[in-house]
Amino acid sequence: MNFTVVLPPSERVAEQAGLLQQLLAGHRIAVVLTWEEQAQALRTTDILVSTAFVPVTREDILSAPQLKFIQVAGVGVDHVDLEAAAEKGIIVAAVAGANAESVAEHVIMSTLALLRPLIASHGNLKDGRWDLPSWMAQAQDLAGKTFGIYGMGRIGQELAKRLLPFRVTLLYHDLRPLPPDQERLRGLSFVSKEMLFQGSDIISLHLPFTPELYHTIGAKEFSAMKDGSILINTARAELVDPNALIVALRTKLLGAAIDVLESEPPPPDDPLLQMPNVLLTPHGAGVTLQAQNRIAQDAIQNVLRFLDNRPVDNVYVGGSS
Amino acid sequence: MNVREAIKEWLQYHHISVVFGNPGSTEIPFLVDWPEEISYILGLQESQVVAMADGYAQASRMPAVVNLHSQPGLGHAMGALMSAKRNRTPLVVTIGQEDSRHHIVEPLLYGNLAPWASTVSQWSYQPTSAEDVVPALERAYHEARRPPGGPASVILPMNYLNGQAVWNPRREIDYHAMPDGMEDLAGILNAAKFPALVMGDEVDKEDAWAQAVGLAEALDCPVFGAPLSMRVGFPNRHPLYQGILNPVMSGIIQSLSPYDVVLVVGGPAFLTYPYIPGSREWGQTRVYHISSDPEYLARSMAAQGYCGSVRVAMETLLTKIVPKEPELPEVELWEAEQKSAAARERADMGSDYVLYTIGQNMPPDTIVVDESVSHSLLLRKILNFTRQGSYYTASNGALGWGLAAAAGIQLAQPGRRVMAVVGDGASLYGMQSLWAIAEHRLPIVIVILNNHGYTILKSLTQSLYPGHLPATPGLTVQHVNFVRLAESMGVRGSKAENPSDLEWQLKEAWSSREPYLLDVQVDAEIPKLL
Repeated sequence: MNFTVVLPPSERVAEQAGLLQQLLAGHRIAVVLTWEEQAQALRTTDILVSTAFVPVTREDILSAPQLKFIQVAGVGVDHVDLEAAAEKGIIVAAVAGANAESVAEHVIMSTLALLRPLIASHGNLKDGRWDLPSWMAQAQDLAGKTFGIYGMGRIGQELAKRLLPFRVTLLYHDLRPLPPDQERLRGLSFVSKEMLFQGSDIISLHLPFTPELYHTIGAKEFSAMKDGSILINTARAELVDPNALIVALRTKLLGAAIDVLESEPPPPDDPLLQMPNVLLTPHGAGVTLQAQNRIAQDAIQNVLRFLDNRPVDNVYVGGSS
Repeated sequence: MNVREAIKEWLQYHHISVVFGNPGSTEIPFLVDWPEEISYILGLQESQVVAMADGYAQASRMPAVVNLHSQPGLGHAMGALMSAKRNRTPLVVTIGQEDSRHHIVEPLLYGNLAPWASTVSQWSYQPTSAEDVVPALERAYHEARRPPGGPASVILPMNYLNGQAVWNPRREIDYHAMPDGMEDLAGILNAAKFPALVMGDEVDKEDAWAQAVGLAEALDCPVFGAPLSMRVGFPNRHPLYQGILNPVMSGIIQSLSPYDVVLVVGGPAFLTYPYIPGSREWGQTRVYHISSDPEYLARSMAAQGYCGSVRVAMETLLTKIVPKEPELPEVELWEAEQKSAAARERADMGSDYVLYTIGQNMPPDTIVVDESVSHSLLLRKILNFTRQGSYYTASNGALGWGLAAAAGIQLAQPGRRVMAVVGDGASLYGMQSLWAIAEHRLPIVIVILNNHGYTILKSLTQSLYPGHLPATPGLTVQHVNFVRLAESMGVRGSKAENPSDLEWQLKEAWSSREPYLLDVQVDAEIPKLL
């Protein structure tokens, strides 16, 4: 089989490529880093191991006559044209939950960093300013706050589990509520989307992106949020209207933690870069060292299942032809 | 007609179908030839008899009759009578007495009872002749109802019950007077920028929740529960409800200081527990107080008091208040907060978890009798009280009241389920009541919140004398087998040591139509009191 493996832009590319060569011995492996390299390799590829950093377009799929299986080394598949894959009978699978713990920890870290003015205080100290009065005027506890989780999939559940000991009240909204027994054991209360935004001190987004959800968090949602509340987006940039976010950050939000941007990396004139109450990270919430290993292991296991004609896990497109 | 017969006729005239008692020799003349239409509810000790009658009277909203045995029985009953007096519960208390013809030699059961009884009664009297007995009972009936309400005691020498009776004209008295000054008070409330209400026990006692909610919504103002209130005066899930004030004066002032006008409706203003140094000055806040109890008003912290029915007062105010458009906040967060707290404490059988689970399992119409002491504040926060007449507790901190009161309340309200939530320490003051509960097959769910001792005292010790708790004796009670105790008196029971025990046992208890006791091993962590 001919493999194309798209590796993420990690400093560990060489190490990972070597590992792949060992695991898939006997097959031809093309390791690529960019879309252009991927497009070139796809012409003769049977199996593509894809990452969210390099899109797989309709044209890519149509120009890959041998392509049978796309394994995404990550949890999201919206960088893949699923419709085109389905038309061509290509199976598309992803890795579920491998980064859930990492994202959950990232959300908690971001929350605490915003509730305490962590970044600003660190910068002030490095600049020689002892800013205790400012700290005392701003630093808040997470305990006693109401935390809203929008999307109760694996990441949402991992986040809820970790938040409960912080003595917070947990609200959530999802298209499919959890069974009542699960809610009771996890201390979670299902509320409407409106109530989630009205009642929460912190809202974290954990819903998958679909075209209907484009800018689903806009001016209306921000206007419902409490003064001094926080928005955290580690899900998809397209969920949030950036203009509305900027207005809200200027007028009512305590802050926002943003891990996903519509343009990655952001242009230098992106207003978010200038805002003092925004905590930005480079789409890395789910790619800690441990998460990378889990993702790689799960992706490879799925590829091996495919090669052995065993059922593939986390299939998004079935490949019926 | 002799006095014995006349008393029974008098009971029936007042539609009194239940008499609570524990007899001795001096009560035999009272009990012989007892009519079938009147139930004599036997309690095994006089404190329990009085507490049963207290619960019955409160739940039936009419005076209850108690039959006590001379000076030993009155002695046993004194604590419970004090609770009834502090609860403002109308009781007609008959106390047996030796035959008057040998009082001069002070026989075995004789005592100079009227002075004793007077300390725990609104009125007490020993008739001077047989003819005097029924008129004395009739007066006691009205004295017991006279605001604020309480025990009225009649001492009955044995021989008088065999004498000839004299009837006296009976009368009906409406004590629910319209308080003066409502026009002025309405003006004050209309002019207030930030008014607040404190709802006390009389709101529930007078069936005035609808008026209380109407007044709060017309003013669109926050509502607090009166501290240590014996009843719940406002639905605790209403969006304007802010919770119960802490029973510490400085805390009460702090909570109410953001408001320019505070109106306390019913109950004392304010009942406190531990003394904490601090100012009793109100600053810019003006406090007003309506109560039918002149004594509450006399010792009130309010600038101005209005004496009369709280229900009538609120009805009058509602005709004079210019209603605001209430902006009611969402209330879903109450439930969410409790659900999260319960899940957090589940593994440890923490109080939040145990009370939340109890609340989730109790039918919505349940009457709760609370003698949970150290858990009481949390219980009133977590359990839903959305219907009036759903919560009872003793107003004076006396222990041993709860189980008996639950029995009396269940007798008075057979159409509603009753749950007694009682601390392990408290329950042991009144465990004999299980016998009466079993005997009358009262389907009460009894929850013992067992933290092995007097936790409220441990909390107080830690607050007042930090670090000295280990060297403070007398606060721990262990090695009591509550399930066997219950079974010995005819009540089925089980011990809940973990969450799954608790969850299935609560279901079992509520599905049973018999009394059921749960010994719940709640986390013994000592809560911070101050």
